[in-house]
Amino acid sequence: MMFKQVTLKHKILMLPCFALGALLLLFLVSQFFMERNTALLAHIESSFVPALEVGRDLAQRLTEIQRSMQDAVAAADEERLFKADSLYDEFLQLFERGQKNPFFNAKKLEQLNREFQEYYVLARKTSLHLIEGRSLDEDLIGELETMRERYNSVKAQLQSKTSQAKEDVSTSFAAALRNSRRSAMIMNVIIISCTLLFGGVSFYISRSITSPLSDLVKATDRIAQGDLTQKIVVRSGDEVAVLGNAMERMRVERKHVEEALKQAHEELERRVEERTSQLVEINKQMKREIEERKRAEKSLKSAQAQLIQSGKLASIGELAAGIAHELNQPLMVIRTTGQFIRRSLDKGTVGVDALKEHFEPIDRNTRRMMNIINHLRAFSRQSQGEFSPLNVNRLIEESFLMIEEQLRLHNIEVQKNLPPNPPKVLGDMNQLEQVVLNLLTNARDAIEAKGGKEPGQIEIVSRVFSDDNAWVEILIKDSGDGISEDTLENIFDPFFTTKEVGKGTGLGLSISYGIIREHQGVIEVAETSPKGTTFRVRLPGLIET
Amino acid sequence: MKYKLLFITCVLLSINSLLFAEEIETFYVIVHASNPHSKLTKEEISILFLKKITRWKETNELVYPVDQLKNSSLREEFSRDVHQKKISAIKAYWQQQIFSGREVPPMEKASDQEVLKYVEQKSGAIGYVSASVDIHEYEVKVIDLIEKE
Repeated sequence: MMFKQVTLKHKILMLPCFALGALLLLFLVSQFFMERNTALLAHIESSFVPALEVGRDLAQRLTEIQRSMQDAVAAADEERLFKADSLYDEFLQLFERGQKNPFFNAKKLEQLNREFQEYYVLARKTSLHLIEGRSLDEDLIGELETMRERYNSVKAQLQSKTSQAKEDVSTSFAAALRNSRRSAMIMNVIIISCTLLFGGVSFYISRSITSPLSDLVKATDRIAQGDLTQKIVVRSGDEVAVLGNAMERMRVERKHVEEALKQAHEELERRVEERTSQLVEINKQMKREIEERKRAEKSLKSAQAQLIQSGKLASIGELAAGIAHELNQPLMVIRTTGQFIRRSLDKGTVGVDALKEHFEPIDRNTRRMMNIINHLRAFSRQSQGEFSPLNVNRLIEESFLMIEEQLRLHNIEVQKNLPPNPPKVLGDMNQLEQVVLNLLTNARDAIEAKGGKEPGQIEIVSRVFSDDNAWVEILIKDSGDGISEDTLENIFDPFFTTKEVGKGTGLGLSISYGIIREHQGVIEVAETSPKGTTFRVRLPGLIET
Repeated sequence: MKYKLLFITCVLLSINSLLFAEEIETFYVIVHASNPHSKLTKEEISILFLKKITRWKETNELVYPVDQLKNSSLREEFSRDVHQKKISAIKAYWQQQIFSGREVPPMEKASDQEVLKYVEQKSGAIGYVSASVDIHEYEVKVIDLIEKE
């Protein structure tokens, strides 16, 4: 279906179009009447006025002819009739002119002409008769009568023509006047009606533009206040209506959206509640789990600590022989010194001062033994897991306290490469000592396993690994026969060992790995070959601020 | 010279008129026998002859005046007596009347007999004849000329 819309453009264009139309109408009407008037006036000018003139001239000529004939008769002078003749010629010429005038009826004019000519012939004849002095007999009187008739007829005709022309002129003028009045009246009517109509149309157009706009404004106010329930209806059928429809769609859409939003909000609320309750449940569960995990962790930690402890004890067990050697050596010194003192006392060859001097190594070795035992006791005690800043060099030295003698007995040379004042690391002395001890024990075992006559060698190096003291590195290098590739994969696994049954627990490196990881450090095999193995331990340095 | 002659003629004529003033009429005015009019003043007759009145009062018949010839002495007398004008004046009057298309002059008859014959035949006719003519042979009526009332 075609629906023609009256748009704003049309409405706005309507006014000038209407004005133009009215002007055109006025123009046409005035043109029409003016043309009619012009035609009338032209007709008057072209036919009536000349007709009047011709009529007047003809009448004048007729009078003149009559007079000149009268003169000629009165004077009894035939010559004077020539004047009448010339007047007659003029009359005929005028006649010809008159015949061209559309006003005159050619037929009637022809009759007039004929009558005039008859008149003239008669007049001429009778004039001559009268001049000759012919008596007024019956014939002459008859002729005179005829002449009189002709003359009167011609005169009457001329008069009637003239008066008719006059009448026609006045009629035409009256018609022209009537036309002008009528045109003025019609134009007035058109102007008034056009003005009224124009006013009406303007009012209608302005109403039809503004009223939907104000409706729209009201509707937008309502929407702005949040009232989405009322429909926006604009029935103007123009752009405003299009706008209104668009706004209506927007309103409906917004309403839907708001409803959807409301629903979604409610849904969300509901879900939040649901989820919250679920979450509370989950939280409770998680709390339980966390507690369980904490318990598990605690037990794990204690298990780990126990493991470390047992590893330690195992290594103590391993070290027991070595420690025996460690203690044996000062004991031997004490014993020998004791024997020497007793013999000297027996012989009495020794003075008190010399005796005092001999007590000094006893004292020293006893202290050393005490030291070893104290250290052993401290070492075997379970670690508290508390970290404190410690010197790596001291750590190494303390570790050697328990194994130095053993290494010596095993014919292993120890080369310490410890630069002074290394950066401190944060850690547990006891645990780290266990690591070092474990690595040294492994080195000793590796060297021992290799056998050979040449003395084994262990090189221990402590150094700063990075420029900013971020890492401290301990390298322990032995001259053993290296670790095979297959073994290398498993060395940090618990209960993995290559040593003979009863000699190793398989926990040493595994525990060391755990300890170093706990210290955020790294323990790895830096290098291994048949010529020896190098273990590397890296610990984060304590950056002094 | 011309004016002198004219003057002399006028003087002579006036003398003549004075001489014959009290004379009895030398002409009879006659009408058709059926005409009811029997008395007319000279003025009335003049008017009728100059065709200023074209119908008879009583009968409403057309008036047909009939004149004597221009050169007749009777006519001259008639003009002088009735019209109180000379023939030439009457002539001029008629010329004007002719050419202005108003009226045609009365018919002229060459003799009293012809006049009598015309009047006898034409009802509504009026004429004048010499008093010496025996009018009893014709059925015409003589009008008494009466003085102006």
